Amino acid sequence: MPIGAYFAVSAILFCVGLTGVILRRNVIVLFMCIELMLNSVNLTFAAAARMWGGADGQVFVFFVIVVAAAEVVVGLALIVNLFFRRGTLDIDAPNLLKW
Amino acid sequence: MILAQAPGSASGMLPTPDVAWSSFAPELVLVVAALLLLMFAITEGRQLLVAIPTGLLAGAAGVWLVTQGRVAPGAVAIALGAATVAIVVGVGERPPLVQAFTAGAAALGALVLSFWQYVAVMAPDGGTATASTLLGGSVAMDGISLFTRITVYLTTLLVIPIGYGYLQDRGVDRPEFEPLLLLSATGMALLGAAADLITLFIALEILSIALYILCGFARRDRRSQESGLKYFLTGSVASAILLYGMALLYVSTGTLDLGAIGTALGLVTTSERVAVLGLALVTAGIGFKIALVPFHLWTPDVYQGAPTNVTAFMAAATKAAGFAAVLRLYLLAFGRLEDLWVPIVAGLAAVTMIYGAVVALVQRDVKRILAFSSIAHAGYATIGVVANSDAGLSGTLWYLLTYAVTTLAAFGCVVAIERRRRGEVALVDLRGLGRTSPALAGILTLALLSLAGIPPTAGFAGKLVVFQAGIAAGFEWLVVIGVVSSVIAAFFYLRLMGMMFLEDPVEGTEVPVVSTGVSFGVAIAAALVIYLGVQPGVLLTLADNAAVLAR
Repeated sequence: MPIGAYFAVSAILFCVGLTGVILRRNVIVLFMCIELMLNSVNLTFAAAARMWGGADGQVFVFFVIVVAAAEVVVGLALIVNLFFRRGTLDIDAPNLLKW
Repeated sequence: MILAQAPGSASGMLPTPDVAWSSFAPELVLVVAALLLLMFAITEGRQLLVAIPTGLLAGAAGVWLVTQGRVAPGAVAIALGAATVAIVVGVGERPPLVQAFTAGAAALGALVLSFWQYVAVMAPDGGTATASTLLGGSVAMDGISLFTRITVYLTTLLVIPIGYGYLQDRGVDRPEFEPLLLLSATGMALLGAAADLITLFIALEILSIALYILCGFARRDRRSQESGLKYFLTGSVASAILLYGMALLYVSTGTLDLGAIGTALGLVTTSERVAVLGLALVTAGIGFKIALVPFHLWTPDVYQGAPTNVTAFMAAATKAAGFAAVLRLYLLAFGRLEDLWVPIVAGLAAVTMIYGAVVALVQRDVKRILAFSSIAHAGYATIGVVANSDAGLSGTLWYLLTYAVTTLAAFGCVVAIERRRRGEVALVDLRGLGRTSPALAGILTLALLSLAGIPPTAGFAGKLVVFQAGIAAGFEWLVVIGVVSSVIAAFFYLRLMGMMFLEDPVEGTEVPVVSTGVSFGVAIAAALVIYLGVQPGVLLTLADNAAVLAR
């Protein structure tokens, strides 16, 4: 398979994730879309590392995975807190802060 | 590279990397202090059990450092070890005070060590200071990183007393606050020093993840909760976009090192289109962190909802760290693409300055007004980036320092007004403040004058340097927009002052509670506002050197 195919797939994944972030209103789904974006980045890095024959892109993938895990910990805590306080997962529910 | 077989591995020995610990001295202090504070929280009531061994270890390490000829860091280690024990013995029965003092001592130690680095590490034996890189070129030790450290640690040092008592009044005082603050500051310092994309990303996430929690720290308060969640969602989307931009840069150049990316972008083998797309995505992602229009949408909500001391920290320190990364990225890595990004970033700066000033006019919440003012100030600081010169670089660094002390003074006053109230300071709360508490109103006026850029305050000195750099680089139109924006902004700052001094207090408005901590932090910030405005010499020289050191 040509290397360009990997980049195309990851670009499509990234766009799907970004579209989901813009369109969906459920916090959990938003969260999944963000993960999708991060994983498309991982695919790009891994493919590019293979293309350039270097290891640094692959190393970056490990860091992204670790950081994504850390983000999940914090994010789920915030989301659970939202659910306990408001009983909803709708992103438009928190609306106290506006002008 | 990293996993390569080293010569020593045959005998079962792993080669130990050569780490220049002196370059991480300030960060080490902060991380150790954060761990220590968490230990204090766990061993509630028996803090001496933790404090004495830690103090002894720090003292022993200090003595060892002194015998090794590193007198200054050794002295700092001994002082911090003694301070730890002294704090626990002295105020041990009041845990919040122990937390605040320990964190404050750590921030002070880090600040002292940063100055020591400037003198001793970068200019050993009294020679001229030189820039260097560490850890295989992934961390830079140069003017940008040093100046960012100073700004960030100064902010941390002032935020701790300002916040002390505030969280207790709101009933959200928990011992993990200070450790998170210190870790976030560590991330910011590292962001200022990041010389490759991995370090840049990791540093950004260290500071962001800690800040997500800090913004939602008052978790029973719906505004704070909303602030934390919004910051988290927008922040992680921005991180993902930034990451994809980095990935595309790697695809087109094959390297993660910022300097090497800069070199590779000039080569014909590099696919320029992918690099340009990567540049666009990186601009969007980093523009989010420094709140450039149109990536600013989170700023007002998050700043308004977060606990006010966290807002102050974010406004002052996050901006400084974000701009350090911006300077390094654009001047170092994207230097060859300047025809492309300079006009775009200049446009963003112009829109940011006007938008921040105009929208602030119609706000009613004081924290929200300051949030929009912070957006406008991001625009002014960007002029130095667009100038794409040494003068612009030092101008931006210097501007961020002046903005940090100014905004700390302003938010410190808001903290005092907000206490005993439920997290909201509307414009009407300022009415007659000049009569009920003249000192507070005076300091807030000073901070507002500085935000407006009126001499002899720090804000004026900051704007002057940045605008000069802009004119020198041929961006007269941008500077004109900056001046117009300042005039618009001055209008609503003046309106606030008028409310404080010319109108009568509203019946039943509570008098602000000014605690020792708030007056201490705000007084130092206000003194710095005047000092940097009247006598910019020392630190401005440092900023100028920073530019020379970065090249």
